[in-house]
Amino acid sequence: MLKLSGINVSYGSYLALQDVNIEVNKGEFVVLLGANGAGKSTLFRTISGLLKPTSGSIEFKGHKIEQLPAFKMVNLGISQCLEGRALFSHMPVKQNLLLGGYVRRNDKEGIKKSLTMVYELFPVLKEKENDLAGSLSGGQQQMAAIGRALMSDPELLLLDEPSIGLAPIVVQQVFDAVKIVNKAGKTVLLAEQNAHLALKVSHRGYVLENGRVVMHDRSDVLSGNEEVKKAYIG
Amino acid sequence: MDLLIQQVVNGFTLGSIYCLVALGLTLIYGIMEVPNFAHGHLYMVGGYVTFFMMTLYGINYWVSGLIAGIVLAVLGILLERIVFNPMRNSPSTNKFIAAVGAMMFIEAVARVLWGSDFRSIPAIYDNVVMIGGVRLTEQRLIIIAGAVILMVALYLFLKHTLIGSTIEAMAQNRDGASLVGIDVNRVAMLTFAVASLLASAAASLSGPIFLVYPSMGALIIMKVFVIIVIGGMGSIPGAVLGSFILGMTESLGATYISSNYKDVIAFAILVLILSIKPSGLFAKGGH
Ligand SMILES: Nc1ncnc2c1ncn2[C@@H]1O[C@H](COP(=O)(O)OP(=O)(O)OP(=O)(O)O)[C@@H](O)[C@H]1O
Ligand SMILES: [Mg+2]
Repeated sequence: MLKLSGINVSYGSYLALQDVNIEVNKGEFVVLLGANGAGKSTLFRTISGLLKPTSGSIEFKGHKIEQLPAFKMVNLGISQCLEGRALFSHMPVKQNLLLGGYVRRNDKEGIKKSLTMVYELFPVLKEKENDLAGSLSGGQQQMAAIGRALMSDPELLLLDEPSIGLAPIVVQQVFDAVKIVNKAGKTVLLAEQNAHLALKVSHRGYVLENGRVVMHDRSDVLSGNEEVKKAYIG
Repeated sequence: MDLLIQQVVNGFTLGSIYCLVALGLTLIYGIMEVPNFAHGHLYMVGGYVTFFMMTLYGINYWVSGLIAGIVLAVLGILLERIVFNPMRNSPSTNKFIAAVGAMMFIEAVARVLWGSDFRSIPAIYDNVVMIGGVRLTEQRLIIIAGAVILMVALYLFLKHTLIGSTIEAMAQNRDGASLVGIDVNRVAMLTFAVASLLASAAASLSGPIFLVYPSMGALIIMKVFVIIVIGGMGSIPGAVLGSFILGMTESLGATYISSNYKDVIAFAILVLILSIKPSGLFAKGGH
């Protein structure tokens, strides 16, 4: 479904990603492991069009997308939750969610269905629908961000470190929700530093170090790998 | 007492005009993060278009104002495309200079085309009405009512339509806006169109009282810039409150202190408010 071939991305003269090849199949839950500064966010921002690769190609459902502007990705079925959540913090939660469905604004029924689905997934958002997004706790904001990304009814959901700054119990909640979303048929690509939980819920994983993919395998195999254990698990 | 009430009404009149211009400036600031210094000049052109529609073509005051609004919306979009859009990824200083350049260009063109004379949009509502023993000209009431109607319309547009909320979405989080599928180019054009239309409306409303002349843009932009600094850059409630604070103080100050100081008052308030709240009354925060 998503195929990155030979992706290079640089910030000025600094090469942040080198020859990255990643493939995600329909229905999969894939995790991208990497320490601080490994290039996870850079990779995600490149997939969603916020950054342009200096070379390489990105295919989504057979179409080349590496030159498309970010706002067109949602129409194709790619929805991304940025690191830091990128909510509209001075707007109510509900307005954030409705804007998440911006590209299907004429499909009133579909929007309503997605909203119900998001509220079922994260009941706390329903309770807080009239509160400003910026006033929510970190965990609730992450839920709002995932909810907003789901409102466009995407085929591929990109989640950049949703666990950042959250208490373990909240991380568990968020991961459980993502698992449900994946089971319901959405393909998920998730970036994480903390591999423990991520490898439990995902099917496959890639390990990114200094902008290069150094390992990729089934999640259960990666969990058993000594190097992965040492670097990314407690 | 009557004098006081009269000056309060005058304060509201001034505040209304400032407000329509300030709202546009603050909206544009919110999405571009650079003040559109040419905004006052769009206000000036709006005044001229209204004036010529009425005097050259004998078109009705309201229709002239409407035509001016449409013409200015188009000019606003052109300004965004020609000046601001190409500079999107440039440093702020460059955008700053571009905006000042656009301002000087528009004023120069206005002087060449229309001369430096003061012109008055023909007053059709110059009757005096008595309200509670106070004499007020109809035009002042029209200015206040017109501004209030436009403010309410803007509020409904921004808060209660999905298209309108894309403007605030882009101001609050540009990446977030792109990722939900909002085309930031279109939002930028929409914002310039709305802002320019409001500036034009301000000039159409104020023209019968405050006259139309090429430097009116430079004069108002200074004050409106002060207003959005006072209010907190990019804040809408701040722009509204700041406008009325300034309008009121100018009006009362001119009467009870000295009219010589009228145009200095803006800066006195600026210093006062910023020394108490350095980021303005309603800091946008988090940027
Ligand atoms: N805007 C930028 N300009 C220059 N260098 C950048 C920029 N953004 C990131 N980098 C650099 O690129 C490298 C990869 O950063 P990136 O944010 O992609 O890492 P990450 O894996 O997401 O890290 P984290 O876990 O901290 O979020 C880092 O060395 C970082 O310093
Ligand atoms: Mg990151």
